[in-house]
Amino acid sequence: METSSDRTPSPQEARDALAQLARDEDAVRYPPIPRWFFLVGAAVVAGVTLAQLLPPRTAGIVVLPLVVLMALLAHRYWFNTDGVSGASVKVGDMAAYLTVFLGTFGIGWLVEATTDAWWIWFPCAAVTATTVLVTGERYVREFGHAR
Amino acid sequence: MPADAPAFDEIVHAPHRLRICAMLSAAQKVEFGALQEKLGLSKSALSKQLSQLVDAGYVTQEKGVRDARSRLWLALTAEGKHAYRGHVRALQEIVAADGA
Repeated sequence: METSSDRTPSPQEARDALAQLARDEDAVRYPPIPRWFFLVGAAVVAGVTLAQLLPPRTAGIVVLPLVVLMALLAHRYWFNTDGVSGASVKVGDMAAYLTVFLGTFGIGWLVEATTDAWWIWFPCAAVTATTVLVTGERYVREFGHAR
Repeated sequence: MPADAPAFDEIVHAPHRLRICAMLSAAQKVEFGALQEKLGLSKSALSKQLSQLVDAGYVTQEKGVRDARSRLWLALTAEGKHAYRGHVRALQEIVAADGA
């Protein structure tokens, strides 16, 4: 990122500078995360998905602690790692994951409501858990993993 | 909130200060030691760059204790965020103009 401070950067210098800035932002925003974090995450989303098989009140009792657990883990191992406080995740970077997750839930609700096929939540749980594992593997490959 | 207008900022323009702003923009606060490690700068070199950002009102410093250690936490001010985003937009405009 060699841009002189007394002249306007060339297009190539500007391109290089933007690439370096993106890497610097990512170095803070996406710290190395332990692999087990994603295994727990996959279990949590599978649990939340399968909880849809339970009566609404019971489902709420099951889902709440799972969500709290995941939030606490994310708080400790993602957003507040050593030397960083309140890392801000870009919603755009999460778009693909959120689309799959919410889309799977939408399909599950739609299928169950229209066909009474309660078993749909099993494949939905497999999809959401696999999405977390695949996303986690990509994350670890790109940003590293912590112990 | 209106989009930040593209504008080169003399304070932010220096490569190390620009990188410091990039890192600080990605979190609420970043510790001095973490910045030093990621940038590969000496303590004195980082302090020098930070003092210019602090003097310009772009960065705030706050001492705190975490894990029984005294640490210096740094954060971008609203003015600093505005200057950094405007600078990034100016760089993006140069790249866009080249591709047009």
